[in-house]
Amino acid sequence: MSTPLWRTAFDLVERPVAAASESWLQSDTFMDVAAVGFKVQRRMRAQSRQALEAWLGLFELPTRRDVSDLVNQVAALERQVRELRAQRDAEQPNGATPASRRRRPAQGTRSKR
Amino acid sequence: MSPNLFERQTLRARNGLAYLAGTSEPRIATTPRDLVWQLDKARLWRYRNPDGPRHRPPVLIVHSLVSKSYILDLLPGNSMVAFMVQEGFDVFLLDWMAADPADAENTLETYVDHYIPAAMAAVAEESGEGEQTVIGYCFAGILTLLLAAAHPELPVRNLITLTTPCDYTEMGFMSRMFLEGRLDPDDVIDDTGLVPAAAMDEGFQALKPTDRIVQQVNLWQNLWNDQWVEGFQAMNRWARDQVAFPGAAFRQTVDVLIRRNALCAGVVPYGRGEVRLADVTCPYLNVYCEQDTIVPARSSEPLTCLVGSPDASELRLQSGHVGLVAGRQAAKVARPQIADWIRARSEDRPGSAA
Repeated sequence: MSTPLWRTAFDLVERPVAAASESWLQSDTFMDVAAVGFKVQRRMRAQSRQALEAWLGLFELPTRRDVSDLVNQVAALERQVRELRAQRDAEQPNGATPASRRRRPAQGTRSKR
Repeated sequence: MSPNLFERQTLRARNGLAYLAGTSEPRIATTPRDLVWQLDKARLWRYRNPDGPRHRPPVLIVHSLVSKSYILDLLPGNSMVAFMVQEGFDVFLLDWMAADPADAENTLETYVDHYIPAAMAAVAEESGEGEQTVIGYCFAGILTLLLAAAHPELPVRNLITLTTPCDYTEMGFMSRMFLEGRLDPDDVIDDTGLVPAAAMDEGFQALKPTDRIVQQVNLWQNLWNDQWVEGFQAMNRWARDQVAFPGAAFRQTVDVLIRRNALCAGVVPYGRGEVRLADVTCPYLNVYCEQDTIVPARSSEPLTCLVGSPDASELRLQSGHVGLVAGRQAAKVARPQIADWIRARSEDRPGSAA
Protein backbone atom coordinates (compact mmCIF):
# COMPACT_ATOMS: atom_id res chain seq x y z
CA MET A 1 0.00 0.00 0.00
CA SER A 2 1.41 3.39 -0.95
CA THR A 3 2.05 6.09 1.64
CA PRO A 4 -0.75 8.72 1.66
CA LEU A 5 0.16 12.15 0.41
CA TRP A 6 -0.54 13.86 3.74
CA ARG A 7 1.88 11.45 5.43
CA THR A 8 4.60 12.15 2.91
CA ALA A 9 4.12 15.87 3.54
CA PHE A 10 4.23 15.35 7.32
CA ASP A 11 7.45 13.32 7.05
CA LEU A 12 9.01 15.98 4.86
CA VAL A 13 8.47 18.52 7.63
CA GLU A 14 9.00 16.25 10.64
CA ARG A 15 12.34 14.72 9.68
CA PRO A 16 14.37 17.91 9.52
CA VAL A 17 12.54 19.29 12.58
CA ALA A 18 13.31 16.10 14.54
CA ALA A 19 16.94 16.12 13.44
CA ALA A 20 17.32 19.79 14.35
CA SER A 21 15.60 19.41 17.73
CA GLU A 22 17.66 16.33 18.60
CA SER A 23 20.93 18.09 17.80
CA TRP A 24 19.73 21.22 19.68
CA LEU A 25 18.96 18.97 22.64
CA GLN A 26 22.52 17.65 22.58
CA SER A 27 24.01 21.13 22.53
CA ASP A 28 25.81 22.54 25.57
CA THR A 29 23.59 25.62 25.51
CA PHE A 30 20.38 23.62 25.75
CA MET A 31 21.76 21.36 28.46
CA ASP A 32 22.93 24.33 30.53
CA VAL A 33 19.52 25.98 30.21
CA ALA A 34 17.70 22.70 30.97
CA ALA A 35 19.81 22.07 34.08
CA VAL A 36 19.27 25.61 35.42
CA GLY A 37 15.56 25.40 34.59
CA PHE A 38 15.29 22.06 36.36
CA LYS A 39 17.01 23.39 39.50
CA VAL A 40 14.96 26.61 39.56
CA GLN A 41 11.75 24.61 39.16
CA ARG A 42 12.79 22.30 41.99
CA ARG A 43 13.66 25.21 44.27
CA MET A 44 10.40 27.05 43.53
CA ARG A 45 8.44 23.87 44.19
CA ALA A 46 10.24 23.40 47.52
CA GLN A 47 9.63 27.01 48.54
CA SER A 48 5.94 26.94 47.66
CA ARG A 49 5.65 23.67 49.57
CA GLN A 50 7.35 25.25 52.58
CA ALA A 51 4.94 28.18 52.47
CA LEU A 52 1.95 25.84 52.25
CA GLU A 53 3.33 23.73 55.09
CA ALA A 54 3.71 26.83 57.27
CA TRP A 55 0.00 27.59 56.75
CA LEU A 56 -1.05 24.01 57.38
CA GLY A 57 1.13 24.03 60.50
CA LEU A 58 -0.84 26.96 61.88
CA PHE A 59 -3.93 24.75 61.86
CA GLU A 60 -1.97 21.70 63.04
CA LEU A 61 -2.79 19.83 59.86
CA PRO A 62 -0.45 17.13 58.52
CA THR A 63 1.83 18.26 55.73
CA ARG A 64 3.47 16.43 52.86
CA ARG A 65 6.73 16.48 54.81
CA ASP A 66 4.99 14.67 57.70
CA VAL A 67 3.74 12.04 55.27
CA SER A 68 7.21 11.67 53.72
CA ASP A 69 8.76 11.30 57.17
CA LEU A 70 6.28 8.57 58.05
CA VAL A 71 6.86 6.80 54.71
CA ASN A 72 10.62 6.91 55.30
CA GLN A 73 10.23 5.56 58.83
CA VAL A 74 8.13 2.65 57.59
CA ALA A 75 10.67 2.05 54.80
CA ALA A 76 13.52 2.02 57.34
CA LEU A 77 11.61 -0.51 59.44
CA GLU A 78 11.06 -2.69 56.38
CA ARG A 79 14.77 -2.55 55.60
CA GLN A 80 15.55 -3.63 59.18
CA VAL A 81 13.16 -6.55 58.85
CA ARG A 82 14.87 -7.55 55.59
CA GLU A 83 18.30 -7.39 57.24
CA LEU A 84 17.17 -9.47 60.22
CA ARG A 85 15.62 -12.03 57.89
CA ALA A 86 18.80 -12.20 55.84
CA GLN A 87 20.85 -12.68 59.02
CA ARG A 88 18.53 -15.43 60.20
CA ASP A 89 18.73 -17.15 56.83
CA ALA A 90 22.52 -16.92 56.84
CA GLU A 91 22.59 -18.64 60.24
CA GLN A 92 20.61 -21.62 58.95
CA PRO A 93 22.71 -24.80 58.80
CA ASN A 94 24.22 -25.62 55.42
CA GLY A 95 21.83 -27.29 53.07
CA ALA A 96 18.72 -26.07 54.82
CA THR A 97 16.54 -23.91 52.63
CA PRO A 98 15.95 -20.56 54.27
CA ALA A 99 12.25 -20.22 54.85
CA SER A 100 12.04 -16.59 53.78
CA ARG A 101 13.82 -17.28 50.51
CA ARG A 102 11.56 -20.18 49.63
CA ARG A 103 8.32 -18.37 49.74
CA ARG A 104 6.68 -20.41 47.09
CA PRO A 105 3.04 -19.49 47.12
CA ALA A 106 0.57 -22.17 48.06
CA GLN A 107 -0.95 -23.99 45.09
CA GLY A 108 -4.20 -22.11 45.43
CA THR A 109 -2.51 -18.72 45.28
CA ARG A 110 -0.24 -19.41 42.35
CA SER A 111 -0.71 -16.99 39.55
CA LYS A 112 -2.23 -18.93 36.70
CA ARG A 113 -2.68 -17.07 33.51
CA MET B 1 -6.99 -8.14 1.25
CA SER B 2 -6.72 -4.51 2.26
CA PRO B 3 -10.07 -2.71 2.91
CA ASN B 4 -11.27 -0.04 0.48
CA LEU B 5 -11.38 3.65 1.37
CA PHE B 6 -14.93 3.60 2.75
CA GLU B 7 -14.32 0.49 4.87
CA ARG B 8 -11.13 1.98 6.16
CA GLN B 9 -12.84 5.19 7.29
CA THR B 10 -15.54 3.17 9.05
CA LEU B 11 -12.94 1.06 10.84
CA ARG B 12 -10.99 4.20 11.70
CA ALA B 13 -14.08 5.79 13.27
CA ARG B 14 -14.88 2.63 15.24
CA ASN B 15 -11.33 2.13 16.51
CA GLY B 16 -10.89 5.84 17.19
CA LEU B 17 -13.98 5.93 19.40
CA ALA B 18 -12.90 2.77 21.23
CA TYR B 19 -9.43 4.24 21.71
CA LEU B 20 -10.74 7.54 23.05
CA ALA B 21 -13.21 5.77 25.34
CA GLY B 22 -10.45 3.48 26.59
CA THR B 23 -12.55 0.38 25.96
CA SER B 24 -10.05 -1.44 23.77
CA GLU B 25 -7.15 -2.00 26.17
CA PRO B 26 -5.06 -4.94 24.94
CA ARG B 27 -4.51 -7.95 27.16
CA ILE B 28 -0.81 -7.92 27.97
CA ALA B 29 1.46 -10.58 29.51
CA THR B 30 -0.86 -13.50 28.86
CA THR B 31 1.66 -16.36 28.60
CA PRO B 32 0.80 -18.85 31.37
CA ARG B 33 3.28 -18.71 34.22
CA ASP B 34 3.68 -19.55 37.90
CA LEU B 35 5.24 -17.52 40.65
CA VAL B 36 7.87 -19.90 42.04
CA TRP B 37 9.90 -17.69 44.37
CA GLN B 38 9.89 -14.25 45.87
CA LEU B 39 12.13 -12.23 48.12
CA ASP B 40 11.19 -8.68 49.12
CA LYS B 41 10.08 -7.14 45.80
CA ALA B 42 11.89 -9.65 43.59
CA ARG B 43 9.63 -12.18 41.87
CA LEU B 44 10.69 -15.26 39.95
CA TRP B 45 8.22 -16.50 37.35
CA ARG B 46 8.41 -19.80 35.51
CA TYR B 47 6.62 -20.02 32.18
CA ARG B 48 4.61 -23.14 31.56
CA ASN B 49 5.63 -25.43 28.78
CA PRO B 50 2.85 -27.96 28.08
CA ASP B 51 5.23 -30.32 26.24
CA GLY B 52 8.04 -29.90 28.75
CA PRO B 53 11.33 -28.21 27.97
CA ARG B 54 13.42 -29.83 25.22
CA HIS B 55 16.71 -28.12 26.04
CA ARG B 56 18.88 -27.67 29.06
CA PRO B 57 20.04 -25.65 30.94
CA PRO B 58 17.09 -23.40 31.82
CA VAL B 59 17.04 -19.76 30.72
CA LEU B 60 16.85 -17.04 33.38
CA ILE B 61 15.85 -13.63 32.04
CA VAL B 62 16.75 -10.81 34.43
CA HIS B 63 14.63 -7.76 33.79
CA SER B 64 15.83 -4.17 33.86
CA LEU B 65 15.40 -1.93 36.90
CA VAL B 66 14.07 0.94 34.81
CA SER B 67 10.93 -0.50 33.22
CA LYS B 68 8.17 -3.04 33.63
CA SER B 69 8.76 -6.61 32.58
CA TYR B 70 5.64 -7.11 30.47
CA ILE B 71 7.58 -5.81 27.45
CA LEU B 72 9.06 -9.33 27.33
CA ASP B 73 5.57 -10.83 27.10
CA LEU B 74 3.73 -8.02 25.39
CA LEU B 75 0.95 -9.64 23.38
CA PRO B 76 0.01 -13.10 22.17
CA GLY B 77 2.07 -13.60 19.01
CA ASN B 78 4.45 -10.83 20.01
CA SER B 79 6.12 -12.22 23.10
CA MET B 80 9.77 -12.96 23.65
CA VAL B 81 9.15 -15.39 26.51
CA ALA B 82 6.38 -17.24 24.61
CA PHE B 83 8.78 -17.65 21.67
CA MET B 84 11.50 -19.04 23.93
CA VAL B 85 9.02 -21.46 25.51
CA GLN B 86 7.89 -22.64 22.05
CA GLU B 87 11.52 -23.16 21.12
CA GLY B 88 11.73 -25.67 23.96
CA PHE B 89 13.53 -23.69 26.65
CA ASP B 90 12.63 -23.76 30.33
CA VAL B 91 12.12 -20.01 30.82
CA PHE B 92 12.30 -18.13 34.11
CA LEU B 93 11.85 -14.38 34.51
CA LEU B 94 13.29 -12.41 37.43
CA ASP B 95 11.12 -9.35 37.84
CA TRP B 96 11.94 -6.51 40.26
CA MET B 97 8.47 -4.94 40.44
CA ALA B 98 8.26 -1.18 41.04
CA ALA B 99 10.76 0.04 43.64
CA ASP B 100 9.28 1.70 46.71
CA PRO B 101 10.96 3.67 49.55
CA ALA B 102 12.09 0.43 51.25
CA ASP B 103 14.26 -0.21 48.16
CA ALA B 104 15.77 3.29 48.14
CA GLU B 105 19.05 2.09 49.68
CA ASN B 106 19.47 -0.85 47.31
CA THR B 107 22.83 -0.65 45.59
CA LEU B 108 24.07 -2.54 42.55
CA GLU B 109 25.66 -4.99 45.00
CA THR B 110 22.24 -5.62 46.58
CA TYR B 111 21.03 -6.99 43.27
CA VAL B 112 24.24 -8.69 42.14
CA ASP B 113 25.32 -10.27 45.43
CA HIS B 114 21.95 -10.89 47.01
CA TYR B 115 18.88 -11.11 44.83
CA ILE B 116 20.19 -12.63 41.60
CA PRO B 117 22.23 -15.43 43.26
CA ALA B 118 19.20 -16.24 45.44
CA ALA B 119 16.99 -16.33 42.34
CA MET B 120 19.51 -18.57 40.57
CA ALA B 121 19.41 -20.95 43.54
CA ALA B 122 15.63 -20.99 43.24
CA VAL B 123 15.86 -21.70 39.48
CA ALA B 124 18.27 -24.57 40.18
CA GLU B 125 15.96 -26.02 42.80
CA GLU B 126 12.85 -25.59 40.66
CA SER B 127 14.33 -26.99 37.44
CA GLY B 128 16.69 -29.54 38.93
CA GLU B 129 19.46 -28.18 36.68
CA GLY B 130 22.73 -26.79 37.99
CA GLU B 131 23.76 -24.48 35.18
CA GLN B 132 21.74 -21.68 33.66
CA THR B 133 21.72 -19.44 30.62
CA VAL B 134 21.36 -15.91 31.96
CA ILE B 135 19.90 -13.06 29.88
CA GLY B 136 20.08 -9.46 31.10
CA TYR B 137 17.79 -6.93 29.41
CA CYS B 138 18.97 -3.32 29.19
CA PHE B 139 20.26 -2.15 32.60
CA ALA B 140 20.00 -5.72 33.90
CA GLY B 141 22.71 -6.57 31.37
CA ILE B 142 25.09 -4.60 33.60
CA LEU B 143 23.89 -6.52 36.65
CA THR B 144 24.41 -9.87 34.92
CA LEU B 145 27.87 -8.88 33.67
CA LEU B 146 28.87 -7.85 37.20
CA LEU B 147 27.38 -11.11 38.46
CA ALA B 148 29.39 -13.25 36.04
CA ALA B 149 32.57 -11.29 36.82
CA ALA B 150 32.19 -11.06 40.60
CA HIS B 151 30.78 -14.54 41.18
CA PRO B 152 32.69 -17.12 39.15
CA GLU B 153 31.33 -19.75 41.54
CA LEU B 154 27.78 -19.27 40.20
CA PRO B 155 26.70 -21.72 37.49
CA VAL B 156 26.30 -19.29 34.58
CA ARG B 157 26.63 -21.50 31.48
CA ASN B 158 25.96 -18.74 28.93
CA LEU B 159 25.45 -15.00 29.25
CA ILE B 160 23.48 -12.73 26.92
CA THR B 161 23.08 -8.99 27.32
CA LEU B 162 20.34 -7.23 25.35
CA THR B 163 20.83 -3.51 24.55
CA THR B 164 23.10 -2.99 27.53
CA PRO B 165 24.92 0.31 27.96
CA CYS B 166 28.69 0.26 28.35
CA ASP B 167 30.24 3.49 27.06
CA TYR B 168 28.27 6.18 28.86
CA THR B 169 29.89 9.00 26.90
CA GLU B 170 27.74 7.78 23.98
CA MET B 171 24.49 7.69 25.92
CA GLY B 172 23.23 11.13 24.92
CA PHE B 173 21.16 13.71 26.74
CA MET B 174 20.37 12.01 30.06
CA SER B 175 23.88 10.77 30.61
CA ARG B 176 25.54 14.03 29.59
CA MET B 177 23.44 16.02 32.06
CA PHE B 178 25.19 14.09 34.83
CA LEU B 179 28.50 13.39 33.12
CA GLU B 180 29.43 17.04 32.82
CA GLY B 181 28.17 17.94 36.30
CA ARG B 182 25.12 19.95 35.23
CA LEU B 183 23.00 17.80 37.50
CA ASP B 184 23.88 15.74 40.55
CA PRO B 185 22.03 12.56 41.51
CA ASP B 186 20.44 14.34 44.49
CA ASP B 187 18.83 16.85 42.11
CA VAL B 188 16.51 14.11 40.85
CA ILE B 189 16.17 11.90 43.94
CA ASP B 190 13.00 12.72 45.87
CA ASP B 191 12.19 12.83 49.62
CA THR B 192 11.70 9.07 49.75
CA GLY B 193 15.11 8.32 48.26
CA LEU B 194 13.91 7.26 44.81
CA VAL B 195 14.26 8.72 41.33
CA PRO B 196 10.55 9.18 40.57
CA ALA B 197 9.01 7.40 37.60
CA ALA B 198 8.00 10.79 36.14
CA ALA B 199 11.64 11.92 36.08
CA MET B 200 12.60 8.71 34.26
CA ASP B 201 9.80 9.30 31.74
CA GLU B 202 10.85 12.92 31.13
CA GLY B 203 14.42 11.77 30.58
CA PHE B 204 13.39 9.18 27.99
CA GLN B 205 11.05 11.65 26.25
CA ALA B 206 13.89 14.13 25.94
CA LEU B 207 15.86 11.65 23.84
CA LYS B 208 13.40 12.00 20.95
CA PRO B 209 11.39 15.20 21.39
CA THR B 210 9.08 14.78 18.39
CA ASP B 211 8.31 11.15 19.18
CA ARG B 212 4.94 11.78 20.80
CA ILE B 213 3.66 13.70 17.78
CA VAL B 214 4.96 11.05 15.38
CA GLN B 215 3.27 8.34 17.45
CA GLN B 216 -0.08 10.12 17.20
CA VAL B 217 0.33 10.57 13.45
CA ASN B 218 1.23 6.89 13.07
CA LEU B 219 -1.87 6.03 15.08
CA TRP B 220 -4.09 8.14 12.82
CA GLN B 221 -2.60 6.57 9.70
CA ASN B 222 -3.12 3.00 10.94
CA LEU B 223 -6.23 3.47 13.06
CA TRP B 224 -8.27 1.26 10.71
CA ASN B 225 -5.96 -1.71 11.38
CA ASP B 226 -7.13 -3.55 14.52
CA GLN B 227 -3.93 -5.52 14.94
CA TRP B 228 -1.76 -2.44 14.54
CA VAL B 229 -3.83 -0.47 17.07
CA GLU B 230 -3.57 -3.30 19.59
CA GLY B 231 0.21 -3.39 19.24
CA PHE B 232 0.41 0.40 19.43
CA GLN B 233 -1.64 0.54 22.60
CA ALA B 234 0.40 -2.17 24.30
CA MET B 235 3.71 -0.59 23.34
CA ASN B 236 2.53 2.92 24.18
CA ARG B 237 1.30 1.79 27.56
CA TRP B 238 4.66 0.21 28.34
CA ALA B 239 6.61 3.25 27.17
CA ARG B 240 4.66 5.51 29.56
CA ASP B 241 4.64 2.96 32.37
CA GLN B 242 7.99 3.83 33.94
CA VAL B 243 9.06 2.77 37.41
CA ALA B 244 11.00 4.58 40.11
CA PHE B 245 14.72 3.82 40.42
CA PRO B 246 16.42 3.19 43.79
CA GLY B 247 18.36 6.30 44.80
CA ALA B 248 21.47 4.49 46.08
CA ALA B 249 21.82 2.50 42.85
CA PHE B 250 21.29 5.72 40.90
CA ARG B 251 24.10 7.50 42.79
CA GLN B 252 26.39 4.57 41.95
CA THR B 253 25.28 4.62 38.33
CA VAL B 254 26.13 8.31 38.03
CA ASP B 255 29.39 8.12 39.96
CA VAL B 256 30.82 4.84 38.69
CA LEU B 257 29.18 4.13 35.34
CA ILE B 258 28.57 7.62 33.97
CA ARG B 259 31.27 9.87 35.43
CA ARG B 260 34.08 7.31 35.62
CA ASN B 261 32.81 5.35 32.61
CA ALA B 262 34.06 2.30 34.47
CA LEU B 263 32.40 -0.34 32.31
CA CYS B 264 34.15 1.01 29.25
CA ALA B 265 37.46 0.82 31.13
CA GLY B 266 36.68 -2.82 31.94
CA VAL B 267 37.27 -2.37 35.67
CA VAL B 268 34.28 -1.48 37.85
CA PRO B 269 34.68 -0.33 41.47
CA TYR B 270 32.47 -2.76 43.30
CA GLY B 271 31.83 -3.30 47.01
CA ARG B 272 35.17 -2.82 48.71
CA GLY B 273 37.16 -3.80 45.66
CA GLU B 274 36.60 -3.98 41.96
CA VAL B 275 35.44 -6.40 39.30
CA ARG B 276 36.97 -6.90 35.88
CA LEU B 277 34.88 -7.66 32.84
CA ALA B 278 37.81 -9.77 31.65
CA ASP B 279 36.77 -12.23 34.38
CA VAL B 280 33.59 -13.03 32.44
CA THR B 281 34.74 -16.25 30.81
CA CYS B 282 31.50 -18.05 29.93
CA PRO B 283 30.14 -17.94 26.35
CA TYR B 284 28.82 -14.42 25.82
CA LEU B 285 26.48 -12.78 23.31
CA ASN B 286 26.17 -8.99 23.09
CA VAL B 287 22.94 -7.99 21.34
CA TYR B 288 22.41 -4.35 20.37
CA CYS B 289 20.49 -2.28 17.87
CA GLU B 290 21.46 0.19 15.17
CA GLN B 291 18.40 2.42 15.63
CA ASP B 292 18.38 2.42 19.41
CA THR B 293 18.03 5.97 20.74
CA ILE B 294 17.98 4.95 24.41
CA VAL B 295 21.13 2.80 24.38
CA PRO B 296 22.92 3.66 21.11
CA ALA B 297 24.84 0.88 19.38
CA ARG B 298 28.07 2.83 19.94
CA SER B 299 27.51 2.51 23.68
CA SER B 300 26.90 -1.28 23.71
CA GLU B 301 29.51 -2.24 21.12
CA PRO B 302 32.64 -2.30 23.33
CA LEU B 303 31.26 -5.02 25.62
CA THR B 304 32.10 -7.83 23.20
CA CYS B 305 35.81 -7.06 23.39
CA LEU B 306 35.87 -6.25 27.11
CA VAL B 307 34.73 -9.64 28.39
CA GLY B 308 37.35 -12.35 28.77
CA SER B 309 35.30 -15.10 27.17
CA PRO B 310 36.96 -16.97 24.29
CA ASP B 311 33.44 -17.48 22.90
CA ALA B 312 32.24 -13.84 22.76
CA SER B 313 30.10 -12.76 19.86
CA GLU B 314 27.69 -10.00 18.97
CA LEU B 315 24.41 -9.60 17.19
CA ARG B 316 23.84 -6.20 15.60
CA LEU B 317 20.22 -5.66 14.63
CA GLN B 318 18.41 -3.09 12.52
CA SER B 319 15.83 -2.13 15.12
CA GLY B 320 15.20 0.18 18.05
CA HIS B 321 15.51 -0.46 21.77
CA VAL B 322 12.08 -2.02 22.13
CA GLY B 323 12.00 -3.52 18.65
CA LEU B 324 14.59 -5.99 19.86
CA VAL B 325 12.15 -7.81 22.11
CA ALA B 326 8.77 -6.85 20.64
CA GLY B 327 7.79 -6.14 17.06
CA ARG B 328 8.30 -7.47 13.54
CA GLN B 329 12.08 -7.21 13.62
CA ALA B 330 12.13 -9.11 16.92
CA ALA B 331 9.95 -11.91 15.53
CA LYS B 332 11.81 -12.30 12.23
CA VAL B 333 15.41 -11.74 13.25
CA ALA B 334 16.23 -11.11 16.90
CA ARG B 335 14.39 -13.91 18.69
CA PRO B 336 15.30 -16.72 16.25
CA GLN B 337 18.98 -15.73 16.25
CA ILE B 338 19.11 -15.48 20.04
CA ALA B 339 17.37 -18.86 20.33
CA ASP B 340 19.82 -20.41 17.84
CA TRP B 341 22.79 -19.05 19.79
CA ILE B 342 21.49 -20.51 23.05
CA ARG B 343 20.55 -23.81 21.43
CA ALA B 344 24.06 -24.21 20.05
CA ARG B 345 25.35 -23.88 23.61
CA SER B 346 22.74 -26.11 25.24
CA GLU B 347 21.94 -29.81 25.22
CA ASP B 348 18.80 -31.71 24.40
CA ARG B 349 17.05 -33.14 27.39
CA PRO B 350 17.08 -36.92 27.50
CA GLY B 351 13.85 -38.29 26.07
CA SER B 352 12.82 -35.03 24.41
CA ALA B 353 12.04 -34.84 20.70
CA ALA B 354 14.44 -32.06 19.72
